[in-house]
Amino acid sequence: MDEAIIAASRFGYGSGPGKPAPTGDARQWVRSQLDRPVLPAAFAGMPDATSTLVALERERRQEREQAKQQGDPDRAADKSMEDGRRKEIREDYLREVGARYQAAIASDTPFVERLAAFWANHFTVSGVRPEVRPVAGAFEREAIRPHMLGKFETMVLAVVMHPVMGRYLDNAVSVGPNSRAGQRNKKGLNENLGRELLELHTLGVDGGYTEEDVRALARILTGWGIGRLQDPDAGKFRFYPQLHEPGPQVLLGRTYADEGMGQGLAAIHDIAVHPSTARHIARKLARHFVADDPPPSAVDRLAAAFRESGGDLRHVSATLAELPEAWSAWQDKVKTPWDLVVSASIATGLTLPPDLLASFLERLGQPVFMAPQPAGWPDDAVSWIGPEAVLRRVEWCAAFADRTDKTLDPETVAAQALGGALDPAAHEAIGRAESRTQAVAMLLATPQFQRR
Amino acid sequence: MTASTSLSRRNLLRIVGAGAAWSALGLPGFAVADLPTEKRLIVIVQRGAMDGLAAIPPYGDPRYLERRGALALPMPGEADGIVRLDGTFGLNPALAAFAPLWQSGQFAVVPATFGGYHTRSHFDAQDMLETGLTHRQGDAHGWLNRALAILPPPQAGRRLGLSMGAEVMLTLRGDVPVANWEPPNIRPAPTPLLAAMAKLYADDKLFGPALADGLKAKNLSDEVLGPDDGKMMGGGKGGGPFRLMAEAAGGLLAAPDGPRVAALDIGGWDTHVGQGTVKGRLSQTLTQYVGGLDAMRTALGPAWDQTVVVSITEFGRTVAPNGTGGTDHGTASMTLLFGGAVKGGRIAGDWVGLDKLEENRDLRIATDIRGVLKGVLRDHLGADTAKLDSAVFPGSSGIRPLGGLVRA
Repeated sequence: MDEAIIAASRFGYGSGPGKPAPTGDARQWVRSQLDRPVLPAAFAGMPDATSTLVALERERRQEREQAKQQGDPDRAADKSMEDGRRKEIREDYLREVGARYQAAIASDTPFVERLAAFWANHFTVSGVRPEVRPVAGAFEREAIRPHMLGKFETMVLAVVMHPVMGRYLDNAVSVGPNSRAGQRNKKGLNENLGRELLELHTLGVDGGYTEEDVRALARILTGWGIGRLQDPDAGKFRFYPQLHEPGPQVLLGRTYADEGMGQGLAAIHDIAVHPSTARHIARKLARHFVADDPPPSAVDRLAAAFRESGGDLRHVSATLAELPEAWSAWQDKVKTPWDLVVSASIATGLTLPPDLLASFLERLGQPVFMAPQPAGWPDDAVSWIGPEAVLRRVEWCAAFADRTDKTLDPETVAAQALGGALDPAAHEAIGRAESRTQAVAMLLATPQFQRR
Repeated sequence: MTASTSLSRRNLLRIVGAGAAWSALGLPGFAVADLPTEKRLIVIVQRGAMDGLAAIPPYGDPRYLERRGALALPMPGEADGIVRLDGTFGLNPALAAFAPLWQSGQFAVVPATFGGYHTRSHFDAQDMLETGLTHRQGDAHGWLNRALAILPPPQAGRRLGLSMGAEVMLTLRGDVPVANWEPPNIRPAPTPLLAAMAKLYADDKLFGPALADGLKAKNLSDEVLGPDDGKMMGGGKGGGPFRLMAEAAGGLLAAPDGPRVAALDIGGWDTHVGQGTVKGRLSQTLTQYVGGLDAMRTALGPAWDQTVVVSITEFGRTVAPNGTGGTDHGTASMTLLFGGAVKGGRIAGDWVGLDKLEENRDLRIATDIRGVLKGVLRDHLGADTAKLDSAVFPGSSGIRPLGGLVRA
């Protein structure tokens, strides 16, 4: 198999008229991208999470007060105002969706873009929670992208301290039962972030922790909150000593003295470099980039790279790009809807408007920023290819092809996107399609294009 | 979806979203504009090469039964038989709904037509059919757009041309701005595509069973995977995306100051396998075609009387059946004209008969499609012949406009 096509498709979003597959050393093309990560131009001028959260919070407060003055405290707000706001929220969402898509299709470092998508999914914040929807994109830009080629520990910390994660997994409302605030208000612990941090983000579900460890970590992280509107650090991370559970905590057999926020910093450091974490991350990376059931050799190598470098993600990513298994196990991965839509856009040179992109992805079952669970979107074929899903994929291929340039030559598109990988029967069928549009639809629907 | 909903304001708005000016749409509240003509022209491109001999069977040709073999349709008067048009030609039973149009003089057939190019490639032939050229030219524009350019221009900001579909069809592409109508984002996949994918997925352990189950769940198995012997139930709803587009085109052209010229397309004609006779793949497509034209006529309302619909396909198919119950790429097909402005109820142009065949396999050419189109553009829209020869169909002065297709 042509290494240029593997490089573009497996480590990127594929090739097409504007993004030719690499010439020369394909492996070097992948590796060298790690030395020049750039903040995509598409993100210029996009709002940061804190200002958005503060603005929304101000608005809500204002409306509550207005309603109170009108003597109807239960009434949320005037109907027209609500409609106006809903429209605004939708527009903001579509701007974020559009920016993320532009970043993906325009990137000259597609491996870095794929890593960004991987890590954003690993540390999912989901717009299923309405308050997260307007800021999920900002979370990716602020907590994920700056750290995805640095130390894993730094990324975990950035994620945990980010106000969007603080809301999404409820840590901002978690109160140490024995803290001053806890004693006064009879409020208590919320284990959500503590659990997902261990189960999803670091050690993994089989990583060797207990329910007591979950609770200990949750207690350790009490007080890690978000600045209130009246505070100078409104909408930013803020440590509230009065919410923090006092006393030492035992996590994974190690005792952490109560040093306020320092207790959490020490705990996060230890779980971020834990051997179980190395293994968990290695497995997930190999599953994402190589195969649903990745070869143990690949997982071992990635885990070793993680451990030996103390979780240096540039080193781990470089190791990933060199895995022999990644260059041989071609076509073992089915594209997620997002990957399909982005790669089809690159293959045909068609850029979708954000509203259409969003509705396509809703229909295909992967609305942007809307993973159903903190675990993120599934990363295996059986989750994505069922009877209804495959019909929708074919129907989407037809709808997408309808919009492509009617003078596109399907042969050229096939050659640029798949090189010699296209199955001969598919190649023949595409050549015999009754129209260019149908030929392009068929190409996009082939098992070869649907996989990477 | 009924006729009235597709003409709703919501659908009209889609055009605006696609870039046309409000004023082009004849929305309530705007003054009726000075448009250069009340005449309407609708061009349908039948992609995939219609088997003209199956749609409009020349049952009276002495060699019809022998040449067509297993694909010959039952004779007029027999069960599921051909619907007689004249002593030579009839209608495929799936097109029986066109008989009243024939009787009232609103349907004409030009037999044995072809575009003057030399290719049996769908892509190339469709390009040339739509550009009106006889050779491929990279960035060529559509002949219908060039035709708009030689017509008296409408008031500033208005658009005479309307392309149905998310992308402007090549037929209507060019320097003259046109409106386009976007269909709903996602529609059921076309049957031919599903059939092709069912084959390509057959050996795939993941996609194969998933698609088979999906088709079963949607009761699409028969339509898509139906047996190739033509026994499956034909057509059914007569709906599909074509009906939606045809109905919308009719509605938009009906508006007093709406566009006057539209182009749309319909696939499903490439019947290499299981073409069938009274039932089968072709019968399904014909049923959709009839349903679409019917919806278009209804939507046009009184404007139907001012309308010519000309329906063209890139080439014909082999006269004899192939080894898989279908037909392969051929040469001449048929061009069909509908509308209140058509001088119909007759066969226009010459018939070449089935005695001698092109390359001993295809229907020979009697009339160049460009001659048909020139005749319609000249007699219906008043286009200047010299400009038709030089600008619309460059270098075609040897092809005379076919006269008498349109009511005076």
